[in-house]
Amino acid sequence: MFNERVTIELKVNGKTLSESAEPRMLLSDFLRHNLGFTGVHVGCEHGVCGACTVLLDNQPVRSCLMFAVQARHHEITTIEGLATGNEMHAVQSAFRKHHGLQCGFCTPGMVLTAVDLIRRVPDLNEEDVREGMSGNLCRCTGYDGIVRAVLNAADDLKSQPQRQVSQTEGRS
Amino acid sequence: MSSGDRPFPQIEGRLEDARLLFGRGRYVDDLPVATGTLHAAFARSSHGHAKIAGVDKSAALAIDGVVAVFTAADLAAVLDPFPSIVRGAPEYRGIAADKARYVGEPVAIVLARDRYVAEDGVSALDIAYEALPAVTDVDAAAQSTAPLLHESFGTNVVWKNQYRYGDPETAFRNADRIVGIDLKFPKYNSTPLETYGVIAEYLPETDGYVIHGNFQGPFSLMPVLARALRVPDSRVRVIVPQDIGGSFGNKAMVYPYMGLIAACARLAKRPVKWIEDRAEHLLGSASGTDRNSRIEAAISNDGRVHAIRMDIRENVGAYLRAPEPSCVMRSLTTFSGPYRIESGAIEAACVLTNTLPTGLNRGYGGQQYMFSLERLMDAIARETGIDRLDVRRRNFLKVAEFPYLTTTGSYYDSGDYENCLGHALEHLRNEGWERTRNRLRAEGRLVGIGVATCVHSAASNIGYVTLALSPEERARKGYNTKSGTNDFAQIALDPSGRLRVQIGTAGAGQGHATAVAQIVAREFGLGVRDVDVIDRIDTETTPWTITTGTYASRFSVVVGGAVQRAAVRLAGHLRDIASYLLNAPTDQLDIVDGVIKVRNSNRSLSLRQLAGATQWNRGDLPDDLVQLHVSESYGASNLRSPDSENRVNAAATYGFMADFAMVEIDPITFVPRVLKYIAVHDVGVPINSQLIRGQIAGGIVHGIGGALYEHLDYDENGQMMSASFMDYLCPTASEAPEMVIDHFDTRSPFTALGVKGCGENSAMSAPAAIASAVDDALATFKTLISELPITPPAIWRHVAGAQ
Amino acid sequence: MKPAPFKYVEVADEDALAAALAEYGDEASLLAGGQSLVPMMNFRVVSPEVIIDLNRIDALSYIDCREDTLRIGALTRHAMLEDSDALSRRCPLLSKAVGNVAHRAVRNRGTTGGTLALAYPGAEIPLALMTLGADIVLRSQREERRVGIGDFILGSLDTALAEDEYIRHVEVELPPPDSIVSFVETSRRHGDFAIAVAAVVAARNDDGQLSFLHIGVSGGVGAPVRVTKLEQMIVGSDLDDQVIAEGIHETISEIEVFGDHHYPEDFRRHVIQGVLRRALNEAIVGSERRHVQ
Repeated sequence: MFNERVTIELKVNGKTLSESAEPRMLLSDFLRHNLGFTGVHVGCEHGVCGACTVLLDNQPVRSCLMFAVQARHHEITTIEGLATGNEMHAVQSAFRKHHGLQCGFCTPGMVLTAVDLIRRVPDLNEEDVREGMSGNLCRCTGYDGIVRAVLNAADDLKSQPQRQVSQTEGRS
Repeated sequence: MSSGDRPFPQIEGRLEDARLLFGRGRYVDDLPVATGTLHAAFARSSHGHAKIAGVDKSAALAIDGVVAVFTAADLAAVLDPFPSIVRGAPEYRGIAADKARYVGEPVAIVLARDRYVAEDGVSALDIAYEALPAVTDVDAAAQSTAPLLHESFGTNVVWKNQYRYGDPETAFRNADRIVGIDLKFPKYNSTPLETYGVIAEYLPETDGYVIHGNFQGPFSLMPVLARALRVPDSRVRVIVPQDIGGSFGNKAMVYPYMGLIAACARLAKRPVKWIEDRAEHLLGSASGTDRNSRIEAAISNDGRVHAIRMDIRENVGAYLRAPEPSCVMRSLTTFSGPYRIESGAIEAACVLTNTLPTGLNRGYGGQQYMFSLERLMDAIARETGIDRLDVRRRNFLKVAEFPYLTTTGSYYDSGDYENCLGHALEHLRNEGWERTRNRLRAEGRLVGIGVATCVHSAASNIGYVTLALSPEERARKGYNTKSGTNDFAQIALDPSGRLRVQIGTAGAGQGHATAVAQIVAREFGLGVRDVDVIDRIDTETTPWTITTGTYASRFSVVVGGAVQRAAVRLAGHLRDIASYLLNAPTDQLDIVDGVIKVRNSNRSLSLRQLAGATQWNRGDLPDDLVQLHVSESYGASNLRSPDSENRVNAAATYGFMADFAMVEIDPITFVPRVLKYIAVHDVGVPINSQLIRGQIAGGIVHGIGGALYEHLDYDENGQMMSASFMDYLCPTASEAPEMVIDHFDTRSPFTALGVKGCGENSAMSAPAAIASAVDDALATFKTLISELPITPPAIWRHVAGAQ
Repeated sequence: MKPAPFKYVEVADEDALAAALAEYGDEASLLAGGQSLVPMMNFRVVSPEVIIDLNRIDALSYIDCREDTLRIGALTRHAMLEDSDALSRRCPLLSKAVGNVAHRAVRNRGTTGGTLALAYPGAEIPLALMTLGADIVLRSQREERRVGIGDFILGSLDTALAEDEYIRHVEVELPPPDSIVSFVETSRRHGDFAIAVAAVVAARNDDGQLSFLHIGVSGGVGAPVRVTKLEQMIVGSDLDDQVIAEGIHETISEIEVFGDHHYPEDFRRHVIQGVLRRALNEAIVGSERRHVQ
């Protein structure tokens, strides 16, 4: 049937959730408005700014470029799922310490992108970080604090491995 | 005893960070809305200039979930045009009535159960346009033969004025040489990552409105909004959300949308919510002005500038809307920059074109005139054979001359331009810039170093807006004089002994709460985290002024000043109470580490104990002694309205920026890149160096955007060629250079904390520094870059043209 | 920017996909990575009545390295190509090309089939495949057929894919194992669509002569162009710089180049020559070095 609502069951931040939505509903809107994860931010709705970045099965994706229905039976991590209780993830701590955020709007996407970058690429130098973060726009910081935060977080994580971000490891 | 010279206590990071990092920011789209709230979507003109022959709503209204469709005709029942600063200016309603005048102009508003359905409604509207010739170039639009945007106004030149300071005619007559250039400054926007958002409700019981909006001020726009909504100022309650995702001036211009959405709510008899999307933002929010100008200097052979002549043609877009024509005011009031230029003749015209109307944009007229002035200084260097830095030095104001009254009436408080530049040069040498440039050049690469030295006016005087009028108009009977800038702060000692500060800045991530906590913590010898700061604006409960808001880099000067005053006064009251309780004279009491101690004794009272005594044992205290809640107002000094010669002190304080840029241009593809940047700025007194560094780094990248990448580019039919983030290119981390950011501060004698504002900074100076660097990189081709953005095809044309 | 409503059809295998295409044909768009389709839908530039989501067809996601050829399933994500050690060893041109595609989050979703079916001008993967030589295997309920990439990509955003067809896999000709590759892309910012991009694969024979040379350019030229005329001019020659430069100038002058508001035709042409010169230089010098080792 045309535009028939679908039931979407998925895991978000480790918890199984189920809501229904029209197939055209974007994953970004579904997470924000249907499930209440307002930490997912929407900046452009055409996949350029990166503010809407979430982890899908541990991989960063632009949630504005997916329909919610496509996330069925997948695992999503939003910024709200990164910390352990009140204890920040090393990347979050580094962003705070090194002034990697001002208005906070790009921050959730930035942080999740950084988490993935650090995990994938060993021995990051400044150029690697700039390139790896170039898919996330920031208008406040000039990227200065962000680059410093990511480099420092990479160092911190090298010496102290963190718990895995999601329950399942690896790729789908 | 004042804490005056003690350093501000510091913390790592900011008070604001935790909630933002946990994803618990509360931006306007995160706010819960009442059941029954409708969602709005705009139908926007696809034509640059067209008659609107009709809007057929029927198919849209037939869609399940679409509740209403409103056009200008419907809204006119409850919404008047927004008043302009310029009398008789063409009507601006925020929505097209008989004609659409720019691509993206609102034409109709669809209200539906959710945004998806509202957009379905927009798609189903049948709007009949009759295309008209469009004009997008500012000089073309000023011609008498140009298509007229507002027929009844009779011309597209919506405002013009002339200003004369000193004796420019004599200076030009006696000049050894006259150096002149023509320049084009482009149209762009700071594009904060969060777009506009409004949630509005009409309250029939009070004939008033409640509007949530990510509005940054200036709150002088509140009466404009109230007048359009046909209610007294006090009946428009504006609530600014706790978090705004960046603004940079852009979110001053959400006010017309606040009016439109509020009017929709009234007509629909339900609350209405609208969140702007990115396409709308690029087409229909606001931008900085683009400007064609000619600047000429009357100089001596030694490079000293005696007078400037400037002819400014400013594109304000399809409507002149408040607060324009303030966009040209920095160019008038600080036209001489950091230089001793004693005469000036400036003609300024604001012209209407079929493009997006303008508004505040980080720098607001600063980058436009600094580009002209700094390019002129480079041109003078070239003409006279004098080194670029020496030309500037020869014209710089000297330390002994401060405070310095410029010929326009701007009262520069302090500065040491020579040494600030020297400090920047030291960094350039320590970083080995010249060596690097020479080494890269030897490899066949095109690399250049550029400079810009600029004055950063901060905390603007509302009086300068009235330069838009003539002295005769200002002298008219019944005219209300305008001047100054001020704000409030409140501090209270709560019953548990905790200090709580309340400010209302409409901040968008600058770290205001942290800076304020530092100011207060210093006064009481506390740690920064021992002070709670609430930064919130609800016009019903937050004390606000006409000048409230975050713009013109005013926060540290005005709000900082109010907070400092409030802290000092509260400390005084607490000493009075402690004096009674400890039976010691107030001049024997010190506040150290949050404890009030009697000097040379072990008697003391913690703030908690003091609070406890006033709460639980109030009866034992004299009634007039107990003052635990202070509200202070701070108005910046030296700010009067313009005189009969159009002289006015534009701002409370004047910082300085010495910027160097190193740029590389690929010799084959002509793609430019900023490799490195040095910024040494005078911020008066730094409250938090980490915050300042962040502001300057952000400003540098905004400036780079304007110089190389960002352009709201219209073709001759008024079609906008960069209508998405795929074509409107914001710099990414890869385009941002390595930055050396440092201070060379001279305290302001005029501000409460000695601070000077620094929020706009290199957004204003970087375009000039980068153009200067490109000229150096292309030295063999003898370019004088006078147009932005500096794109690969533009560079290629320069190079190919020279060969 | 919300998309218009559509009928959503999810298919779990190739038969269901072919059947859905047969049923809906021109009313339907295929949803693979969605990195190009969804933005267009969000802008309402396209509003398909039916969306066929084929993301569950795991069988179409693979990289199969053989002796002389490489098979890539249509649903293979760019990130999988990017992370493949086998690919970077055996087909470094494709490896380099995919690393230039947008940003990692986009590469986590975008697919080989998707980028081929779109044929965006200046796209990296179509250029790399055109340069290497490849066949596209297409399937519908009617038939399975094989089309050379030169016959598949017809122009900018224009391919030979029929309404009821989908891409099964791509079969790529692998160059000699010791070949040197060069991939030079020019864009305004990192990760942007290319203004101009050149791809070169070169290998020398035992006598040190340049014996294998494939050259491709893209960006403002419609379909990516395999510049065989230039290859023939250079192979077996003594690789004189001046001769090569003239050859580039001549052959690129013969290619149709499209300008637009942002990049006029003459500028594009100039840049295409520039990136090609760079890419050739890198490959020629690199292949010489490799041969000497």
